[in-house]
Amino acid sequence: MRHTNDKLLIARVMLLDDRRAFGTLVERHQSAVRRFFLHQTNGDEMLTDDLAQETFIKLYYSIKQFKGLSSFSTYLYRIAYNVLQDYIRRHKPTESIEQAPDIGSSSPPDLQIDIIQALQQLSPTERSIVTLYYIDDYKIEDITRIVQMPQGTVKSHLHRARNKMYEYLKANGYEYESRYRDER
Amino acid sequence: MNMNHDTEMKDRVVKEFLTHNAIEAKENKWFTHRTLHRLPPRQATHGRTIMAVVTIIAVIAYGIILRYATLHFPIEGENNITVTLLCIYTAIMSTAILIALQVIRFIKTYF
Repeated sequence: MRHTNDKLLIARVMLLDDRRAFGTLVERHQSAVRRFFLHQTNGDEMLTDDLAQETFIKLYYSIKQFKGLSSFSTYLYRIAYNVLQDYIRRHKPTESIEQAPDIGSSSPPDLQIDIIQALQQLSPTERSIVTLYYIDDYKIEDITRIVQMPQGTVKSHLHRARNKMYEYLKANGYEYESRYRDER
Repeated sequence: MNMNHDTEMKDRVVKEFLTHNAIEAKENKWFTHRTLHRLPPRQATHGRTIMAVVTIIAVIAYGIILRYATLHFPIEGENNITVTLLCIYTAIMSTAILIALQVIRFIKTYF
């Protein structure tokens, strides 16, 4: 089942309630979804896992609504984004999404704090759009489907977020580091 | 996306920073197991209902064909034996395949 494509697995879940097929879908997409949440929750792994689980459970309930008009991962990210928005609404003005991080992961800790501090300069919506655009490599058209906003709004969020991030990075010497790397 | 030079430069710096420092989610081998555990109990779906109905119809059809074959093609001459046996074997084979599929599917739900 590992090499079966997503559409076939989705069909099996829809028609036969095939849990193994659903498990394969979860296995295949969980790291991307968890990575997305990790950047939205300031690196809070427990919260990330909770939100990612909620995303997949919502996917299970809504999989019959997937018409295949966009890619499956776009559909999944759209659910993830809605789960995140629900969480923010429920826990306003709060906790880990707005606070300093408690992190643990694969790259050096000092760099992690930098990326989280940099992302903290942004509003939750800007943070989601920046993550989708720069880290998950989504095009603006796909992002408009995920966040359900007009293209112009997404572009202006991205523009504002880019400027904020750049100012933060400049203030912390990252611009020069990047130029230095290019010159070499 | 069309960008002016200033935006392009900012875009390059931000992209470079984010791609180099993106946090990777730690491997969590229990994640899938826990997620599947939180799903609701299985319910009959259209696909399963259709398969069950087809199996029942196949079993009934098997009975009818068997009865028809034994009444209309009594085992006397060599040719009749062939026709009767062909009907019986075809009916048995298709019913057995359908039942086997159902049994396999039933067993699969536990693994």
